[in-house]
Amino acid sequence: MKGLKQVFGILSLTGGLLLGGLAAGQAAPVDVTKDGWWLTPYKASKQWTIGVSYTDVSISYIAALQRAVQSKAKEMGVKIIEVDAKNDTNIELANVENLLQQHIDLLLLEGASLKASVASIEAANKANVPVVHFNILAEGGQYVTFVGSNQLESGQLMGKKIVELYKSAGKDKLKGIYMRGIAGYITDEVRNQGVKDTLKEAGIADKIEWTEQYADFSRAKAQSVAESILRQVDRLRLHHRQRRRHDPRRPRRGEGGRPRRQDPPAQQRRRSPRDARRHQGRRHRFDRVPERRRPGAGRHPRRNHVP
Amino acid sequence: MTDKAEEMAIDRRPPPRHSLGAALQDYGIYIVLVLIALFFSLVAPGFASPTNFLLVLLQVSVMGIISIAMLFVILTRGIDLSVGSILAIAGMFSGLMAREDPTAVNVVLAFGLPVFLGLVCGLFNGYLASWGGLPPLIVTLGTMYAYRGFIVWYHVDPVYRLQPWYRVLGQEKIGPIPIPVIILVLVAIVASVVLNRTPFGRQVYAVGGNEDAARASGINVNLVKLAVYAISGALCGLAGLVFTSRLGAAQSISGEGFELIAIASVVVGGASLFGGRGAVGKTLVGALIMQIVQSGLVMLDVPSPIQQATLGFIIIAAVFIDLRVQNRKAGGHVRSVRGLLSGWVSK
Repeated sequence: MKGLKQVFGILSLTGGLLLGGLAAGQAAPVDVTKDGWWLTPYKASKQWTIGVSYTDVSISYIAALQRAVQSKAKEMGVKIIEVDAKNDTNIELANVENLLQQHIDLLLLEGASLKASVASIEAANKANVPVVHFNILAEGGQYVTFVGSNQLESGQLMGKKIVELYKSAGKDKLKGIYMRGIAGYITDEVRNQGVKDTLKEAGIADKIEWTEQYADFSRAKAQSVAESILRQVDRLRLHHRQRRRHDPRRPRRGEGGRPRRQDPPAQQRRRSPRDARRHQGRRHRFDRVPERRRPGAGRHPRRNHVP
Repeated sequence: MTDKAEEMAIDRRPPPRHSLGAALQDYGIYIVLVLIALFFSLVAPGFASPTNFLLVLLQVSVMGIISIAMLFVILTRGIDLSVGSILAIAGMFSGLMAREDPTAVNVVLAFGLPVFLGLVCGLFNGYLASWGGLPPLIVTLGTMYAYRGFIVWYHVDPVYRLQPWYRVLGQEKIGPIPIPVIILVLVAIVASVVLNRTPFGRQVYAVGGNEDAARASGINVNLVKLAVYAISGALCGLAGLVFTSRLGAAQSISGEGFELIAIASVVVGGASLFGGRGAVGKTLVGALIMQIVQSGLVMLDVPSPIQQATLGFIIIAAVFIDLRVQNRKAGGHVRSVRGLLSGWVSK
């Protein structure tokens, strides 16, 4: 019963912290015979200390997540100790070991790697500290639950979108730029796996010609890479046009042929992704946090304000 | 020449110093370590315990080995920015072998290949920095990207589910002491003996102290430089092995940023970036200070950016003190950071 109560407490706290759905401070005992008992906030008999390990708080999405956790923890009166793995499983392990030294009651872990965070999880298991994964479900060891979206599913959704696009385009082959995250990083790996698996299942893996580049989750780099690729496309187009111009079989102006369109020089076209859309290119974005939706920013700063 | 005159001619060591300044210069780093440990013991709950002491030693083991590797290079007034990338290459190939059954070949490859690959990478760095005539900063900056690019291209996916026989090295203990700590101590002892008790060690200090004078006295400077980069590479390979075994997984992105922490540990340990001065023991103390500060700040729940900033200020303070000490030794002849950088970017 005590174990069940503890698990219930953990789930309740986790849900409250991460989803922000519960209000704190009710001391009434939980009556599990009533409907919706799981929504009743758990009132701990002692001060909980929760260790929270993030992947990399310098990424805007993770920073937004962190602010939400801080806000909810304050609201619920739970003490949290936060650490940043900086996308490094070695730092993550050292951080988790330090948290365990402080006798935390629960570890909220956003694994720095899908497969290489096992040492951190096992360290918590050895210390009998329950582990709750959030945002990323890392493999290995034992955990209580996972809160967050499935990155693999995110990739699969992206794959499905591409399959739809392929079918609606009615072309034999599609060409596209695949702007990825950071090479070797968990989010990128898993999403890529989801995309590629979905395309394979749909039987169109060889029908899509990707120009794959890593943009390191940086807008500036994404812009630069996209411009470079599109400029290359421009050069190819220009090259083909010049070849067509010099083709003796091509009907000349005034010889009954279609008048040639005056093209701007390719060097002048500095195309950004926005330009690409203007030039009939289609752009699809996944899992991006626009600034206006960040807590504490945008149109309603007071609503999401984190003191 | 009489015996007494010969003795006088040979024994030209400076008389022992007894001033407070000299004592602080020699033992100040140990005092700093004790003060920092004392501070965190008082303010951070759970810090002052035997288990935490062993934990800090375990956490510093990989960085300690890399710092010793960096010390060899810095003693010759060089720099090795590729240590993290070499660690990633060594760890990945070691991990690939460690997934297999424990046959003799697999065991030898899993434990031997990382050191060998590190040695090869280090030899390449050393050749370019010595006979190649290229500045060490540029060489190792280039190979840092090249090695990293290679391993990400070769095996971008992490390697996991490593066999239990392999994980013993990084996760088990002999008595109460974790095996990585024992490896670090052994490496430190061997490195200290090599630097202090062998002709090669004296040559390393001589090359770092004054390269022209070393060359004039018959030392093969290029060979010494090649050797220190090779040692650095091999030690990084060993660090990659310990790292992968401790984590139970290998990643192509492992070791990013390790080069700067290693340089910081060496500098905090009192080694001179101008070459010719530094000791293994003090370097380990430098690495320990960095680790204790990091662990202590985590325990105090200091936000990550503030932790980074604190470590940054520690590094700046260490370099500032180094420059002041160098200035005093040079008798007012100012040696600046600009002079240091010109040493790294010119042969």
